[in-house]
Amino acid sequence: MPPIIEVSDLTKEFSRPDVSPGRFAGTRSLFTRARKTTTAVDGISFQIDAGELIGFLGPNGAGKSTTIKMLTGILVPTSGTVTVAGQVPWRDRRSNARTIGAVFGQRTQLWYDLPLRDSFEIIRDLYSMDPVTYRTRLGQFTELLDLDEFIDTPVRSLSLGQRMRGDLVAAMLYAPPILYLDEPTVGLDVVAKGKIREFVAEVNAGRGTTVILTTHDMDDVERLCRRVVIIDHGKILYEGDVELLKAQYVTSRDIVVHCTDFDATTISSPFAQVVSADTVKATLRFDPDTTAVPKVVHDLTSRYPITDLSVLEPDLEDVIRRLYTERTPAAARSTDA
Amino acid sequence: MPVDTLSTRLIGLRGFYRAGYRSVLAYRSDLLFGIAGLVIQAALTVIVWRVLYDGQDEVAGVGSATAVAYAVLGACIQAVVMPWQFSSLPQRVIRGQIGVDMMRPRSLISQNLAQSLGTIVGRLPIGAGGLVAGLALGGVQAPHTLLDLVASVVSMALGIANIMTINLLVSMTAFWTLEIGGVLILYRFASSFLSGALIPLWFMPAWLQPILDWLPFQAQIYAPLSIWFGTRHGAELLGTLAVQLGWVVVLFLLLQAAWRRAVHKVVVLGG
Amino acid sequence: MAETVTALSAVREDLRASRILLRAAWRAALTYRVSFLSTIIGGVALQGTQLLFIGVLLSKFSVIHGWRLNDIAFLFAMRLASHAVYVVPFGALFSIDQAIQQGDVDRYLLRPAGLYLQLITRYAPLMALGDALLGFGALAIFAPRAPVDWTPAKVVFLAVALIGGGLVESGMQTFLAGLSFRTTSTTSLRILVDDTITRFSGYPLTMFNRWGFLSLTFVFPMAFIAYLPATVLLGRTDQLPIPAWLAYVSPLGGLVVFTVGLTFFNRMIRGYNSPGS
Repeated sequence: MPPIIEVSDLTKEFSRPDVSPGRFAGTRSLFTRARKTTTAVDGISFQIDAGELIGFLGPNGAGKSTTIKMLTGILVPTSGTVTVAGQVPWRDRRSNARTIGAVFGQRTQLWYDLPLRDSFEIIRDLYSMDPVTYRTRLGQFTELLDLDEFIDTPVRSLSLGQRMRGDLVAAMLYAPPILYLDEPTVGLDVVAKGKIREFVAEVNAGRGTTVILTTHDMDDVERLCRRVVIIDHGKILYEGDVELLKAQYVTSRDIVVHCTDFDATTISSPFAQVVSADTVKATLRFDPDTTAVPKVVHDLTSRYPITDLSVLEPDLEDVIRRLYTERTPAAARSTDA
Repeated sequence: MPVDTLSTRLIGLRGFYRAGYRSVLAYRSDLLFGIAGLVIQAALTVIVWRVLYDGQDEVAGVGSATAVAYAVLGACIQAVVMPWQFSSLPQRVIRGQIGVDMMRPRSLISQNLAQSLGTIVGRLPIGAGGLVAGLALGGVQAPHTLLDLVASVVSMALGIANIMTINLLVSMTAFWTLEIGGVLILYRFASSFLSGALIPLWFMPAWLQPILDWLPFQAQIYAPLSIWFGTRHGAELLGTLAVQLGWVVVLFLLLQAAWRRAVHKVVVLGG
Repeated sequence: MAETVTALSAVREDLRASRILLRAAWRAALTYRVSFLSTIIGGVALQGTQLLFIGVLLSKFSVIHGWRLNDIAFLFAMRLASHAVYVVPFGALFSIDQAIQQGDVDRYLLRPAGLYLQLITRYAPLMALGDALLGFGALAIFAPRAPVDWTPAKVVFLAVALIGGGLVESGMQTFLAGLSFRTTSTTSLRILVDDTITRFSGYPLTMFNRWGFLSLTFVFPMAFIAYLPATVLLGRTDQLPIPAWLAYVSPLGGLVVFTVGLTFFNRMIRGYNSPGS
């Protein structure tokens, strides 16, 4: 199966009038010819297979949103190629529109003054949906996301969580094969986040929708994505499995032990360093490459009256932070599953 | 406790003045097109009025040169003091942000007036552009005597104070009605007509003249321009200036009264 | 061949989409809490002021450049009606800078309908209805009084001229809207154009000397909005420094200006810099 999204040497440059600051800079910018060019995206290449749920990460201003905008056809690339479901998004905008759904966390696509239901009907009409299909699918989504309580409320009166659910349904109503999600869980409470993630997982696993998820929330990534693309300064820092990323970049793991009737501040180990300790709990750090996990566990449990113990999973956030600060593009590509 | 003297108050308001001034400069292309627009308008206006007078020396007692100059100067003044948006007050009322403003130490009225003044000063280049165009085309000439010049400048200042106060008064209707958009537009165009900015009040039909005399609008632009053209002298001149001053005082008192009612509405009634 | 087919089906799709989007815009307008009346009054205010201005002028000066009261009134009414033909369907174009800032244009680019179409159906033309009332009301009053010997042919010419005139203003504003994709704010430029047209397109433009007239015809095509077709109906084409036949085909000028404007607009989408990163 050919990949559903193919990006090759994709580049986007923005040019602004190059005017020295000072009096009437704004005026001079209208007349000057000299231009200053910034490269937002610098020759990146990657592929996405149909049915994948892939995460797009990167600091703000790193070229991540610009890349997504070129994938969706909002921006025209300066050079390079992008093919989505066999089409060039910025050239075949109308047919591209039917193959993609998009949810932008900040800005709703719903009609602000009308009841939520009206927005769905407008989309049904715009995308020429068959009425039976529409009714069935809306019914399923309504149940999945509990829309009943607010489907007849004007969108301007909805809470953020309700509006996001509405936006998700609006994006998936016409069953596009590809779904772009831009920060879908930002600002939501825990329960709402869970519902959104459930829905995303369902449309991906259950309906085979390819999902491209842009997010800063590491929980989103951990729970949903198998693969990630990390973009910084217009280039790909890392592209591949999340697990592989963690394995490659994690140099330490933490083990937390709890004690009762024993002062945990006295705990120490030849295999691990104490990071923090109080009377009931101690956290130790070790390098899993040099010392196997069971060894550390055995050492601690055999010498101290430990009542509870947990070995922490590598923190993706730490990994990413390290990546950003080190800034060397990783060559690794995930091995095929 | 800092003493609230006149100088401290003025210093406090200087920030708002600057804000108004800077808001104009922030959009330089807007300023440029504003100047270009007024220059074009001035040029076309001169031609229109000259053609209108073609073959006639005087109409309604006014000569061609005066009418042309009046039209140009009226347009210049209007361009400076009548931007599309008077103040952010109506928006802030509608968005419910006005509560914060009311808590500030400087009275809201002073804040807004200081800001309007800043905006007007920022827009002066537009008026200057139009004036230069008018002079270049020979459409405008300076007043005949020094006294006329000085008096008309004083009169213009009073006229502008008049305009600023009414602008704010009208903006305040936002506290009482949602129809603020319609009110503002209606006011803008009614005032451009009744103030003599659009067309000299000499040309207005006779039955309208007494009504106009009793409205504050003619004190805004018609009065200062009448002085510029030397049509008011001696007692009449002083009378005009006195009426203008009177209007400014009355309007300012109205403003205070409206403000008190607005505060009452917001603070006590939770409007 | 395949391209014409796609072009035609795109047009048909757009017509369908325009019906859907306009219905939504009107339904949204009905939810607004501001009264219809005040919005319509707002719509009347700008153009209406000019009408009053001309009225007062004409009461004191009975002739403007050889044109009498009935001539000027008719010319002005044609101008107002043409303006309505522009502002009712295309008036929402004025808000393009806002649409870009708020991210609406990004969203429109992701929908299966043309960007231009979605921009002009953004909101219902409430204020524009005031313009329509004013324009066609004025025409209903002043056309019968004009010194025109009305025949069916002349009525048809008037209708075509109004459409052409509306297309001139639409084309000009469309062209300027195209600039918004690359620069930050063109609102003041659009206001400048709108203001100049509002104030001066209702005059017999030959009153500005020969060069003025030619600029206002071929550089800034204001003459095509009302003046040129009016000279045909009023039998005053001999006053023109250009061949009379140009005045007779002046409605086509609207088609030309609109096509140029729309083509430019669609090309500029390629240079669109969406706001924010």
